[in-house]
Amino acid sequence: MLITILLPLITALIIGLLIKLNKNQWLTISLAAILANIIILLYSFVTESLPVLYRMGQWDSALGITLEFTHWGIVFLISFNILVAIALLYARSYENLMRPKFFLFVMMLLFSASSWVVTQDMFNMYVFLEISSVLAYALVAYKDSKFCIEAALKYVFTGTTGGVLILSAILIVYFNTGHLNINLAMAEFANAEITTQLIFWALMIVGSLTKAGAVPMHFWLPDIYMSAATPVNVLSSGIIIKLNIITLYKIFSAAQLNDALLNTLNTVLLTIGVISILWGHLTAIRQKDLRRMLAYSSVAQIGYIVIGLFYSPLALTGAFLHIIAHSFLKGLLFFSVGLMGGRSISDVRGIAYKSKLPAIAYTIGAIGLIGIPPFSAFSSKWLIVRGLLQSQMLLPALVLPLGTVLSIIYYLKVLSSIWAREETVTTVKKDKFAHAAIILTIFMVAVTSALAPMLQNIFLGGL
Amino acid sequence: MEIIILMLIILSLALFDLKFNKPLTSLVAATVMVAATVLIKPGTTFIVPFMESALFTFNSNALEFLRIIAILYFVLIPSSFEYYDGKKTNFYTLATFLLFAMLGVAVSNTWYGMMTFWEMITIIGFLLVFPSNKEVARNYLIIQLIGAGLLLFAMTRTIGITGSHYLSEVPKELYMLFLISMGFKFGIAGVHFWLPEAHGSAAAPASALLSGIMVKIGLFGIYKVGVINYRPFLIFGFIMIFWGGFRAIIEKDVKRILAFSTISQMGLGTVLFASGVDELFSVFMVFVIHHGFAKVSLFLLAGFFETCAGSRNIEELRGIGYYHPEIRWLSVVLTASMAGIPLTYGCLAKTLVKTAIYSFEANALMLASGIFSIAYMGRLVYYFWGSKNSKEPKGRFCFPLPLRINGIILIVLATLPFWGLHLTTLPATRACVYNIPSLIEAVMSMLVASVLIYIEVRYPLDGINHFLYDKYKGFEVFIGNCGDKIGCALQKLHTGKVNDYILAILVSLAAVLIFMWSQLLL
Repeated sequence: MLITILLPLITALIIGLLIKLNKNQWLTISLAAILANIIILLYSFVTESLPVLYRMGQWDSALGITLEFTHWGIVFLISFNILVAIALLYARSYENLMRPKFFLFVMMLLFSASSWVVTQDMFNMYVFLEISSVLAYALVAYKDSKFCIEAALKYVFTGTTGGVLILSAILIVYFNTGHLNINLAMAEFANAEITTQLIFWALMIVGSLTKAGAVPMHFWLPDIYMSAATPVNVLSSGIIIKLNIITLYKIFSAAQLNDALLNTLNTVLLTIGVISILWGHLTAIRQKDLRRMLAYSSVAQIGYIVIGLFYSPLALTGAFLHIIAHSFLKGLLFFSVGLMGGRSISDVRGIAYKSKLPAIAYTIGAIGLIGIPPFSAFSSKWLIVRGLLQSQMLLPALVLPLGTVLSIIYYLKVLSSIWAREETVTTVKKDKFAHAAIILTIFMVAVTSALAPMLQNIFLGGL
Repeated sequence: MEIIILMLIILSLALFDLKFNKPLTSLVAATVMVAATVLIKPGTTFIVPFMESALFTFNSNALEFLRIIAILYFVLIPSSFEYYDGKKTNFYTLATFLLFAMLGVAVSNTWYGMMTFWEMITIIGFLLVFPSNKEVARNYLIIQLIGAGLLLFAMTRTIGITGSHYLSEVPKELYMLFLISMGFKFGIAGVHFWLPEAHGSAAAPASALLSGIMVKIGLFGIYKVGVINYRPFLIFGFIMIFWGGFRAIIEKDVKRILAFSTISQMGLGTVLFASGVDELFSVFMVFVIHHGFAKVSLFLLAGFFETCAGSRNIEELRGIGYYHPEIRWLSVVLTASMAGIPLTYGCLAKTLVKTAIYSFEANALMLASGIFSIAYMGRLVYYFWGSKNSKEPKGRFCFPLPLRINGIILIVLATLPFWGLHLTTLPATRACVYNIPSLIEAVMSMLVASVLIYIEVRYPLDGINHFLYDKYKGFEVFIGNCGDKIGCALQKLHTGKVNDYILAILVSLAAVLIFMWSQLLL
């Protein structure tokens, strides 16, 4: 199973060596590697008895690095792989992205994301976190326009601040326990002084959520989404942001907390989640720019995930399901917005009659993300609400339906604009690779929606 | 399996309509529905393998309800030909989809499925209003979605308490929540303000569909989840009866009068559900037939007035009966039935409701409600038959056959013995309805109502009317702009400077630290 981590790295090396090839060949190599990855992951998911532990260099886990393939980890790996494949396919329609550098960055990103999910070592996690972040900065700045550079610089500053906070948190644990393995370190860290624990948690939460873009640390996020290329947006919203939440979850689940500390942490995360939902949705209502609207919607969705992550197994299942559901639905929205030539709501009036596929894709994505029943986002939100109600949290449980109502307002504005019966002057990009990517994403949305009960069982059973 | 086949047929007809938008398809769908309710045995279920209980259940209540709804389509759809003659519309498509969604709500056996179809109905309602008035349609959608959020919350609570995804007995403490959240669909007291706006501004056949058919699903939903036999509902019911009746008496716009009368009649339905008598469903069905037939026809009539006279104001429609003698008897029959004058079907329905809640000793209130309904309906007749207006209305006055037949049906249903649609199980006999005391009561009510009409005509309450209307407008603007305003205030914080971003991160770090410190160490 280790090969699934290494394969993207090897592919990146191969592409780096074979610069002479043309773009179709790079694409074929990358997609073949990802396909092999998915097949191996699916095969081992079915055959092996999970979770599987790998000790790097046969060192004991107190000394060496441990990789753990859990049920939920493999589900995330599969979804990341598919998302990267779709993003690469879509990127084929951008001439300026089709350079070896881009493939190299994306495959490295896949490698570091995969390692991040499976690693059990805190410092290792930080290293992969920084690798992914640096790649994300590079990908955002890739388009080489003034806005991109500015957005990337903002991203660098805020991302590094978040990284420093996380690093300080890890150092606090290391100096107090002498361990870097998450399970060992957190077990021993429970004996540390309460002030130390408190500082550790504050640093960890603020650092991770800064990189994840929760309110009030979200300011960099809309700029990124405004300026970066569409495939990069899909990767950053689908993978990089979600990984920070997974970090938080991993450390939280390994920690042994007393009741007072647990309640306090829950209150902090719940507050951040509720504020994110309300602020994200309300700000999205104000937006005229389609991508900025999607960015604020992402902020709100992070709120849902943060709320769900720490309450009960049911809510946690919902949060995990929401991570996957949101990846594909938001991807669909970004892809369709990328194809529609206009940037603002008024630009895309009546565009549905010029080109059907992006309009249909946007409609599916919007309806799905609002949380209308057959889609997986409904199942996830439903689970989160049920989990919250199980722990008698009535107020946050009411915020979730309220968020749904708010999101309908702004998605409906766009939908009524897209399907308005008017002649449009905006040109729509038509590209068979982009269309193929959109159809694949719609397929994945359907698959995740159909498999939502199965995923729920995997997350519940594997946790 | 029959249920799935029926659903697929109706859905495919609706999808076919999506492309062609033919009235015939809606009629075929209604015919299929009627045939299915006759052919399919009550108690048929559809069970998916690996599921513990049935996904869809076709019980006898759902069957009767759907049959009546489908029969109402035969009045509505042919009457809309003339109205939509040559106009661009998607009315027939939406009507067919509504039939499908109502079938779904009626047969769903899971909370999840019911919610899905419930939302579908909301979207259909939005699309029906949207072509006529976008602002009202948007507010309608927002209000309905708040209701849906509450309903989802109530369902989740129920699932949490009972532990089952299948429809099961609702805990007593959630009764009120269910009533209010489902009441968003039929304008329960407190959230009724969208109803006159939406029903008043849609096109006439769309209004008829909304007011005559769609509101019934709200009441049916309450019956289906079993939120009945609960006395506090009486308060809601009576508030709706009297507020709706009062507003209907002072309004000037024909369609708004009819919409407020819908609120009043839905109050009657709520009162009925508060009682929880044994034959509740049969009485409810009589009520649905009474209100459905009369309200659909009245809204269509209002639509024809609008096209021929170019106005909906009853002052300007004054004496229109003289130019169109055909509508004299029809308007009298329809309004009389709506008001519950003896010898009409409406009287039967009202008497049955009255008998049902007899034990609550609310007879004085019921009597007053009868007077109100006679007053607002009698006022319509007074204006249609009033002194001859100087202007002759322009435009062709079309008067389709189904409406005439409908008038006959209402008389026939009321006068013949209780055979026909389903009414064999009712214990109440004609003797119970038409006895001497009740006739005296009716005559007295009519006298009092005519006094009310006289007072309103002599001293019009325009001031109150305008005041209430402005109040509503203010509320509407408030709902529309609330989100925008809050968003605007937050927007100012996004300055776009990196320093601010990092400052925000550090401030939030400090805030989290201080909060945790105060929680744990103080």
